[in-house]
Amino acid sequence: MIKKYKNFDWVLMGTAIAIFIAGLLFLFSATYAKNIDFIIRQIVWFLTGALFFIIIININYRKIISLGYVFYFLSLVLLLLVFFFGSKRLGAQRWLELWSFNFQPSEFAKLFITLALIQYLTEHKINKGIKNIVITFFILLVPFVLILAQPDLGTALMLVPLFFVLLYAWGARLKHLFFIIGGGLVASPLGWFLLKDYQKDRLMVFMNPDIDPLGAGYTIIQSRIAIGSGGVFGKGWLSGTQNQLNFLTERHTDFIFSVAGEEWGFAGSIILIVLYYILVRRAFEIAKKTDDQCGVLAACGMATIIGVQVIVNISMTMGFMPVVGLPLPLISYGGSSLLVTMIALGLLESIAIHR
Amino acid sequence: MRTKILQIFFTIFFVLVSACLYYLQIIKGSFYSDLSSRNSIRLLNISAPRGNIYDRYGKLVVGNTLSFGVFIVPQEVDDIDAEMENLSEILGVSKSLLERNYKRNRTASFAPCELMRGVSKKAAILIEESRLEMPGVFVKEMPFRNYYYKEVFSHAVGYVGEIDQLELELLKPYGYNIRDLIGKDGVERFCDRILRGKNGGMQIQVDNRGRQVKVMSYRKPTSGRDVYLTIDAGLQKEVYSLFNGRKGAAIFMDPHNGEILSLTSSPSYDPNESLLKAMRSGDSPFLNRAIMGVYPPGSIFKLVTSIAALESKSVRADTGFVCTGKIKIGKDELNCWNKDGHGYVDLEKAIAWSCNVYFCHAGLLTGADKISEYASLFGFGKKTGIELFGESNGFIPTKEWKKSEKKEIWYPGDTANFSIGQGYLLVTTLQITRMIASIANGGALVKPHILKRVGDIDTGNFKIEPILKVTKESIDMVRRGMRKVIEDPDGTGNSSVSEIVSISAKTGTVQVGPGITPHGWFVGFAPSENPKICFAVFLENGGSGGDAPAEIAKLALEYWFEKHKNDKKI
Repeated sequence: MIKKYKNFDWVLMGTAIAIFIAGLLFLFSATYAKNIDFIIRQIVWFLTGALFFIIIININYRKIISLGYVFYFLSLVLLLLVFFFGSKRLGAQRWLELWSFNFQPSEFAKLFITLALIQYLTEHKINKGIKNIVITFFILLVPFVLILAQPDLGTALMLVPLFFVLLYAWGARLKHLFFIIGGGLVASPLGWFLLKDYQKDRLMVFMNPDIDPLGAGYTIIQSRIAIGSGGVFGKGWLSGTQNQLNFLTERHTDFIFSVAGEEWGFAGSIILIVLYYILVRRAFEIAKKTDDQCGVLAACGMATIIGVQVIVNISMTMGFMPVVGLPLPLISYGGSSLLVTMIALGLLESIAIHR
Repeated sequence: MRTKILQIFFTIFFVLVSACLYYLQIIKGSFYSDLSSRNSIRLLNISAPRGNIYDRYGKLVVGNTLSFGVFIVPQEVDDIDAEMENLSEILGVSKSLLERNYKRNRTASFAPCELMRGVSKKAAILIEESRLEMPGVFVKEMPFRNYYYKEVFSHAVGYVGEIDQLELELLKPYGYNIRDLIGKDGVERFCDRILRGKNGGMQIQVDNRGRQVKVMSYRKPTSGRDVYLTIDAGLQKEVYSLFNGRKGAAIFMDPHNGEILSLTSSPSYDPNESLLKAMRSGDSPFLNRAIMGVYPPGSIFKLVTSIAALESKSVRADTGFVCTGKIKIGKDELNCWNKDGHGYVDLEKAIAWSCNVYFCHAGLLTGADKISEYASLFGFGKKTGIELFGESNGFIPTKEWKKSEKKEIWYPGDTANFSIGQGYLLVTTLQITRMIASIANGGALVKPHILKRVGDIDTGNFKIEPILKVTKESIDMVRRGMRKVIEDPDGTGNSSVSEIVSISAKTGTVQVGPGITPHGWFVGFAPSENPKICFAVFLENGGSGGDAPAEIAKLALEYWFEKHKNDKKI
């Protein structure tokens, strides 16, 4: 029994738990004045996630990857359901009500699609030609459009680095990759017309938040002020004026990093970033130690899912990236995101154990 | 190998993010920290109640009444249009007025914006009750400066208004702030630093909607101190109503100590109302005719001429001249107002009848220099120093002045004109009152004042400058003449004989041009023996001084003596 888990990555799990506990502190500070339920629900989700984690580490990751297409079709179905029956919040149709739970299929989709891509790429590891790249592209395109339609720009854009990271790790020729990047850049102005007005606003506001300080720019400005005013050691837990006096919006979900920055200062925030870095680094270490192409792809995929979300989320709360609506893994309030992250971690451990 | 490159790639991004964090929190930390406290900390001014103004007997003249103002916090409003509609119905004013006020007063979305002030209690309660339907609207108590006597006291007490740019620049070191109320005229202005007290303040922490979360510090406002005037509110009211809107000024004063019992300038304005209308009026109600307006004194100046002539021994009490109705001076001819002539007149009769011919003779004998000298001794040509703003100097002509300014020599005709108060001489009603006071009190020059008590300090002890050069005999001579003005059947003020009090006076009628009703003066004191009160009444284009101005003075004096007949002190 013990021997079976001798390759279990304790650092990875320990880091994840440390991040989660720190996250609970931030979440408490952000929500206790309003409702203590947030904390309780977040813990319940974490325990649920832990259950999935335990199940997954006991399954060989190859089996899970081999079910990639099944998950893929499941997520297409869910996304279609959202499209027709989803409930609307904050102007976006992202949520499905299921047994009185609201869950966000696009969060699961980014994991499931990754699994499907890995399965396809693993099955076609011999021919690294343009044909397989094109097929990969189309596998990605269908859910990409559905997610974009919700609209959930953040998750949709998540798929782009995933696509490149997986192709790169798979061994696609750099020539091909650069060709796609070039094509994407040429086509990107077209994308502008596909964006919703509020998304255009957000991009404009990112360029210059002062054009609309009380509207779209408000969140960014207030979040920047919160983080900046934290200084070296922060204003202290539960003492952030930006946080406690409600100047921060969405502070328990996407903007929770501003709570951390304000109340814990640079000292606390840099520790948090280092913890995330350890998490991502461990994931790549697992990939490096794995000989199996499937394992490498899966580890790199999970590292990307977590890493990109961290980088984009923190950058956007600081105002260095446009607001696209990506949660901070393990910390932002929300069951779907937490569950997905826990599954990703489980998969990483499974790779470490079963390689 | 590729995994390693990917790992490096991510490492670079993590380093970048950390660098951004360093920039934001360490490099720009104090900048954002400042922004953050500005976000959540507000300074609220708590205005100190302004001191009251009372009359000499403690009657409240100016005070504060509670009133209500309606405010709106823009960021809390859901539907501004519907709320304006609602408010206009409750307040009974047009919606466009509220919208105009909103546009004018709005500063920031979190800052309360004044929509209306002076709202009735009933409306205030109604608004408070429907607060839930109108988010962002609230009612605040606002002390309202109330001028209980409306127009009656305006030129003495002045009015308050919002501090203007110039005043703010000058007074900032003394703790004045933008939007402060400040006295703009009269005692409100003169005693502003005493009346205004010291504003308190509160440092409060607010949330994102500008709602108060907690008080961080508090400084209690210190109420302003009260001011007591020397004015008798009853007399003041009586005099103002006697003017009945006619243009002019009147001052009643205690001749012994310079306490002003009534100071009226008509027409006036009501400081409770919007002052714009009054400002546009052609009758210049803001002009304080009692201290700013300068006019030729006319015949009332003959009193000064008399004293100058007596003191310089140019005439004696029994010196007489024959008045034939006119007098020839050089090439010019000067008419007496009585074309038939007064016949033989001595000083007493000359004053009683206001004989021009007598005073031309007397003046020519005395000389312009001497008359100028005595005019100056009586306080003409310079401010009296009353605690009000905008007092005029008036003007005493001299030979030197005419030579240097007019490039003309001084003719005997000028002296003649000067003697009877015509020509270049200009005086204020207040200067005349002081001159009369020194005749009434036996030769002392008092300093007119309007403040009796400021806070706890009595201000009644003013220095009285004696007129050393004037003998009691001269003054008594003039007083006899003034008594005759009223008591002699042919005296110019005979119509003002009062059964209540004996009055001594002098009339003046100033020609202002052919076909224009002359200005009228009526100045004097009462009772004739042991005077208690002296006065000067001036009516612009009011006709003969013995008519309308005399009537105002007589009725006011009768009111005052009737009211105080049992009062031992006066």
